[in-house]
Amino acid sequence: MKLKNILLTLVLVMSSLTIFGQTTAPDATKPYVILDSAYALESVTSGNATVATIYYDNTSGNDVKGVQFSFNYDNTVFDPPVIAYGGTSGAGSDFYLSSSEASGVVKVVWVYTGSTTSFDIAAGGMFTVTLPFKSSYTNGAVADMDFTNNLTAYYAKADGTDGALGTSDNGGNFTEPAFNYTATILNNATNPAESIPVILQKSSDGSTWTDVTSVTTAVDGTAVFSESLDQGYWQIRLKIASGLDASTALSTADANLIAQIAAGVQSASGVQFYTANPNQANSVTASDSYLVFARLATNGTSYANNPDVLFFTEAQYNTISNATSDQSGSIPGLTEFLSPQINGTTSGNFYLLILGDANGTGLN
Amino acid sequence: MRYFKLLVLCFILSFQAYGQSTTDVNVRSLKTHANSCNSGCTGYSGNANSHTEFDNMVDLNSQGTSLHVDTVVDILSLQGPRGNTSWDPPRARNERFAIVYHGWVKPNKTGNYAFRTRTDDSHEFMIKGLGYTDDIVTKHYGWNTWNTRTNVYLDKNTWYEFEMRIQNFGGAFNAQFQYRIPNSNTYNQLGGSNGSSHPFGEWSATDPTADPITASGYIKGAEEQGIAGQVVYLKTQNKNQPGFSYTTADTATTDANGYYSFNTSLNYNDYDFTIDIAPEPDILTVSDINWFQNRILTGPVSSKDYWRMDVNNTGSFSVSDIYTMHQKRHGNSAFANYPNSAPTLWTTNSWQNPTIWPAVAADSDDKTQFSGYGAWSLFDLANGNQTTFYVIRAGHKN
Repeated sequence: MKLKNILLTLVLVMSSLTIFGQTTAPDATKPYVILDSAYALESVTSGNATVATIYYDNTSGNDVKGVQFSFNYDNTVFDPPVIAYGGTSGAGSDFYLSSSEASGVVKVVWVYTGSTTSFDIAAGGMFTVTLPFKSSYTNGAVADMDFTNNLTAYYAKADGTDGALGTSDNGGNFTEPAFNYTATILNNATNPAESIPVILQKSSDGSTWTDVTSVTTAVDGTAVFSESLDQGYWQIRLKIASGLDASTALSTADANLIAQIAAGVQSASGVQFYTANPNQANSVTASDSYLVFARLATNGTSYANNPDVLFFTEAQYNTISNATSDQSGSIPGLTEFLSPQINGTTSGNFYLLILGDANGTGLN
Repeated sequence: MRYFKLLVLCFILSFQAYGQSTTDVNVRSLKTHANSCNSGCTGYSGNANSHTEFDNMVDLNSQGTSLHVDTVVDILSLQGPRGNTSWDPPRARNERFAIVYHGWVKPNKTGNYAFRTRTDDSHEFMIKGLGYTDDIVTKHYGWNTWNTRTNVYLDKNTWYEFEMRIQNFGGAFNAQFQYRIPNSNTYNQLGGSNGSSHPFGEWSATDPTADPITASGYIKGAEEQGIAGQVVYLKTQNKNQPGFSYTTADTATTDANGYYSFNTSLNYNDYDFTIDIAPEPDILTVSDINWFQNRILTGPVSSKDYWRMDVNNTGSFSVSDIYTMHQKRHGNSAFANYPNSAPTLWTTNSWQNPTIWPAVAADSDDKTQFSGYGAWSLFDLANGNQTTFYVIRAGHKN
């Protein structure tokens, strides 16, 4: 068992290295300039340029006094970038960087200009590539950055001759800015709804929506989304499809409680105007109680003419919950839940009510 | 009519005035026999008693001799070697002096001349190129003794370089110089009445046949801008001397425009000459190096770059060249010499045949197989005396 744990730990460590090892030299044969696996785009509406870092690493043991190389970028998306030295080599002002751009290819030459003979470039982020969006660009695919052969990759050796500079391209991909959101689906304020599939959707025009991903709520009712999605461009919402089977929430206790409400033995609470009225007709009556008894007796998984679940926003739910009368006329609830746009927010609570679940068991 | 006569008179006077200038010769007046010195240290006795002693007496390097004045005199005047006791040469004192007349003379007639000379004290009269021992025509080591030489053949179309030395140790001093023209039995006193009747010829302080060596030009860098402060050497060797053993005769330094010029009194009839340069690379500048670095981005765009930019001699232009330049600039001893024996200088000039600079300046391929200046270094007046040197210096833009 212990060995299993050790192996598991090693796997996790290796996985971590794989994820974060995108900025180091792949071998010790020569020094390298390195493109990371992915770079986050700025939002197109932010007015800011996207900044990508080119890294340097050297485990060869040879001192490096300067480097030259070239790379390309998507010039249909970006205007010519600005290249800056962002290294930590201790070069101070004793360096000179020159770069040029033509047809989407950038050439870079960096050299140490000081007199310290022991100087060696330090590993780490060495160049920042500031890429402003073209004014015509709104959204769409962005080609990755790649090293090119337009300028032979060399490094300057201590003896003033050329050495082969390695170029390690781990992807150089651009991803839309991160969108992080946590949706919590609740039966009531203290009863989270588990195993509810929540879909994240995006739309560029507000009419045509595309599913981005789907996350099923955890035991605490949360569906956590972490996507590359430019909310400055996309309209974003949540969807929960209709057709949920809430049979597990129904019992004879619900049917009896509905009968008592129908008989006037008990008064209906705010939400019971929905949960005790599974046929959604008139008010709470004996037919509602019968509908539940009948479903239980036949092991039915749905109602013939009504959904199992209705969805509400938190504001709607609070209104319903606090009411002493039936609010279904003004707040009917949604069979297929489509949230308001969630751009600019990081979390939200949404409620569901199960028709027939008069005692509030909920989906758990 | 009266004005016409006046005009003719003016013309004659002008001609005479001009003609007088043809009797000027050089004269060097020396103080001899310095008080603290004797014949043991001067190399000459009271009188110059030999040609060697006379050579020593008129040599400014001799311990007993010093210069009084170098000037020009009319050889027909009493400042010339004439007048007997009326002889009045430019002198510092009346004793212990020597006078050296030097110049060129062209006789009026062709034929055999006779010369006789008499001075107080010793004298030598020399004409170069006649084949006499030490070029001496007449001489006497002592005083007041005529010395005569006859059958001295002279050509009226030839300028002869002459020298006459006269010295006085003590007492009186005088000088007489007489000549007999071809087919004549009488001597003419130089500058005297007979001499005026039968003037010997034309005299000159400078060689009328001389062709002074002059030269000028520019030293320019790779960008064809002048390089200031470069030393230029004018080198000579004797005319028609076989081999190549030129030595520096004059130097000049280029001005802000890279211009140099030589105006010498050296006679091209006596010397062949050449112009040589020895450019020195200055300390590299950051602005030049940055210019080269930016040039890497555009690629090799000039044949010149293979000399000035590929300082590590790898045949390519890269960041290592730039690093090398910076270390050279800092004086890093490891870069006292460029890597791979890269040359520091390459030169050519507009005389080089075939000329290669236009191609070097305009093309972009590697032309380092051209050796440049060195194989074609001779200049001569027959082909001109102006040239532009082009110097490509490693690590220098210009």
